[in-house]
Amino acid sequence: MSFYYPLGLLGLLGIPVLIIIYIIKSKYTEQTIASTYLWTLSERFLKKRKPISKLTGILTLILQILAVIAASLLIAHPVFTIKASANDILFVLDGSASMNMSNDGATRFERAQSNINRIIDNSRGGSSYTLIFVRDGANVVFEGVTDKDQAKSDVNALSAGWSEADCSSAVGIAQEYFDANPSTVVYLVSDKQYEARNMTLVDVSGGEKNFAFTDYGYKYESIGVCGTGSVISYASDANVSVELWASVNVGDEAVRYGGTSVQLKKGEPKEFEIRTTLAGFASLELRIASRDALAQDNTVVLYDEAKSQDRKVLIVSDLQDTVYLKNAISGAGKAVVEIMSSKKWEQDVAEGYGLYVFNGYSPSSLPKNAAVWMVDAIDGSGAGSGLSFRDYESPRDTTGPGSYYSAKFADEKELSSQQRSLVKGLLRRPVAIRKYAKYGVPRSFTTVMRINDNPVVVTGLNENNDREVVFAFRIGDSDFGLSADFLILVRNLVDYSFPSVLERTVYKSGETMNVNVVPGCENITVTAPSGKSVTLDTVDNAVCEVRLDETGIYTLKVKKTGAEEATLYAFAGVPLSESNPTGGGQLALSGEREYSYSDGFYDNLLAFFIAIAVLLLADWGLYCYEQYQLR
Amino acid sequence: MGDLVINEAFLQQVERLQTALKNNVAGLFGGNHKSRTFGSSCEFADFRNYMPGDDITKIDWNAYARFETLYLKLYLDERRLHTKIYLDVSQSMAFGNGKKRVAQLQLAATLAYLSICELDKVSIYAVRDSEIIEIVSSISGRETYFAEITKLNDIEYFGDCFISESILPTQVGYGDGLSVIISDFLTDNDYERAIDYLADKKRDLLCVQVLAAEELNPKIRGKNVFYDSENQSRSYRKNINKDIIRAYREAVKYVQDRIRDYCNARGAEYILMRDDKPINEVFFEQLAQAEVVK
Repeated sequence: MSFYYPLGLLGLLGIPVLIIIYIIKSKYTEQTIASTYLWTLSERFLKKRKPISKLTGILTLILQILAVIAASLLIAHPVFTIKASANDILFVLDGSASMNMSNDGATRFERAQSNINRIIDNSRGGSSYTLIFVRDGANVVFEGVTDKDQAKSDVNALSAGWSEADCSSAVGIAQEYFDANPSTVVYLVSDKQYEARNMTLVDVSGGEKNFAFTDYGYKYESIGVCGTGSVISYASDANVSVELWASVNVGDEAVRYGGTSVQLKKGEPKEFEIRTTLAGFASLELRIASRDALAQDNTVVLYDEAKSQDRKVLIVSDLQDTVYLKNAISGAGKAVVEIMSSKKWEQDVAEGYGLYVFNGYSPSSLPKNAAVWMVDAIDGSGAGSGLSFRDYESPRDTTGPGSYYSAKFADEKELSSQQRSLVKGLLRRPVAIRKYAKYGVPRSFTTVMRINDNPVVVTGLNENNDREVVFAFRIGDSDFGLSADFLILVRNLVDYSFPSVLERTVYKSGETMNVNVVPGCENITVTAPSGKSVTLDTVDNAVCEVRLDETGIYTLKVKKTGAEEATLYAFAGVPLSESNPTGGGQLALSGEREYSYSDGFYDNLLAFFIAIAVLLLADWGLYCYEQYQLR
Repeated sequence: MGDLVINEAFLQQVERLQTALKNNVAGLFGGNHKSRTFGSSCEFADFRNYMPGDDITKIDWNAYARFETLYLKLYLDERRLHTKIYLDVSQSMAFGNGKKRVAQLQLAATLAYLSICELDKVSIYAVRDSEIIEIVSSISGRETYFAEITKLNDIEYFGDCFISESILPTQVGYGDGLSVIISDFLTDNDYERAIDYLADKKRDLLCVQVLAAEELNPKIRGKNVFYDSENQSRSYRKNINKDIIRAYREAVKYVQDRIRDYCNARGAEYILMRDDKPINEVFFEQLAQAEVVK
């Protein structure tokens, strides 16, 4: 046994002081009373006392001496060495999203922290503690810490994440510690049912009730938007209520538009549809209204990005078929369209539009930092379009099948995945064209429609490095303007012309969100649900990556040159695998476990506190008994 | 009246009381106590036949006229008694805060007043060591009472008290009244011969034991040496604990029982008077219950 503060033993000097006080106090008090007759007479009635009762006189002194000894030891803080009782303890703590499930007011992660604290408390002094935390990756939070309070403090400072966590990588790190010391006691603290070898699994799952969306989406029906998807109940059969909330304009507060009740059987997803009279929306939110252990997987928010974009289009045209383009661009393309005559364009070049459509008119130069559509508008100069005009092609016949050309859309197979979005959804009916122009097209351009081998609709970057769409025929010289494919293609081409900042708006926590630096973009700021903001590097990167560590709605502020700041939203949900973490697979530490422990120590002062309290209480009780019992 | 301050209203109440004597009174004529013998008071008692030698002035001539037989008219006899009050004036009675002394003197003064109201004579004696000192000598009448009773304030308390040795040599009348001994009786048996003596003299006897509250229920604990206030050579050295306190209480009870039994066996009355008890309570409760007064 040793002492942290040996000087505390000086408190034992209090013992002789106590004895001296006792001796001084033991002197008989002399006093004169009326008569000693009754006191002397009482001797006749005094019963013979038990020998042990004679000790009561010094019992108080004994108790006080013991209390002084205990107090001195308490101050000196003794440390008892206990042979071969301490070991190295390593914790692998799962910080995945499922650890946020709560039950009885405590989350699984809090229960995990409590378990680790308890293990640390119960371990022998002299043990060392190492913690590997698995959240966005596996990290060693602390290693070889011998201070229990420090270790517990570090554990309690952690919080679970909202993404999936790969405990196998943590076990890989743990293997290194195990190899270095095969006596290391490894605890795997998780809510997943791992089959652990050479590790002790501390299961913190509680069979909590949880619902989640296994699928979600929406579709437009004749009466309005219809929310679709499927929900699941993991713990038991349940009847859950699903609601559809939406906001019509960006920034509006969501309003409930409908709901349905879904009877679920345990573990079986069930589809639902919520029909509304909503014509369109900026954001659409599907909610599971029933309460469960993890609220974050009960909501999915879908956004219509077109609502977020300021799609302003200017059509420069003197032709009557412009009406086809205007209707298609404003309807299917969800854009605000203005029409300007070529004469006015030449007088006063308009600015501030995201897309310029030149229909049957070839400008002397193309506008910059905006997409351009050239509809039968490239003459010999090319005007910086990158294409070179060769000749017009007209059929020989004026009537009958020989009086038009049959144009076909490009096959998806010959297009890249990115290019396929241009022909997405097309019915692919042949288009009859009476007259078209032959252009020399650079290889970088993508052919969307062709007549024989001649491209009639192409997309690419013009000499200003802006997106460009070229129609080699006049809409009025074809039946294209009356077909459904015209609307679909215009929609696809408008989407192409207004490149999305975000490829998609719904993510899972832990995923990386690619943010496209669109032309003219000056600044993009991403704000996480927690309020943490980051400004992206839009100068050096065409695509910026943002890791989504949180669940909820991320807000993007996009500032373009000459335009107002646009606000976009993206939703990050809980990964479906985290809504019901069950089997975690097999995790093993290779090698044979050994049982060689180092010397530990015991320095808990609780026993001394209790001893002092008991002794003082006994002393006080004795005093009260002597003083007050007979009164 | 100094220490003897007694409420005037209380004295008026006392005036309505009477001492209840058990023995046949044999005092002087002119008192207020009815004797069992026939005498010459105004209160008619009975008739009896005339016998030669009887005082012919006592013959009831009206009865002779009706019955033609001589009847003698008898009247009750009333006696004047002599109340003797013996006060223990040893050191033990005055020790402490003096409440024992005050209680003793108040009781003595009140009993004396009661006797004065009954037209009796009253003598008050102080008993110290083996001597008897007459403080108030055969007084009667209220004016004399109020003039003399203040002498009680002048009594000094010191020395020891041997009741028997003091009272036995004194002359007391035969059956001529009430004797009262007011003491703490903290002695082995010193009082017994005095009780016997007074009982033999056919005097009504009241023994009042005055004890302090602390003497009845001591609060003191721990290691103590007690010295007797009357005799410093007498001492008691003990660690006062619960066992000793229990034994002490048994001793107190033993002393009370012994005096009570001794008194009862000789037709005397005994009461215990706590020094913290008001005098009116002692009078109207304890003395009335003991049928000393009525």
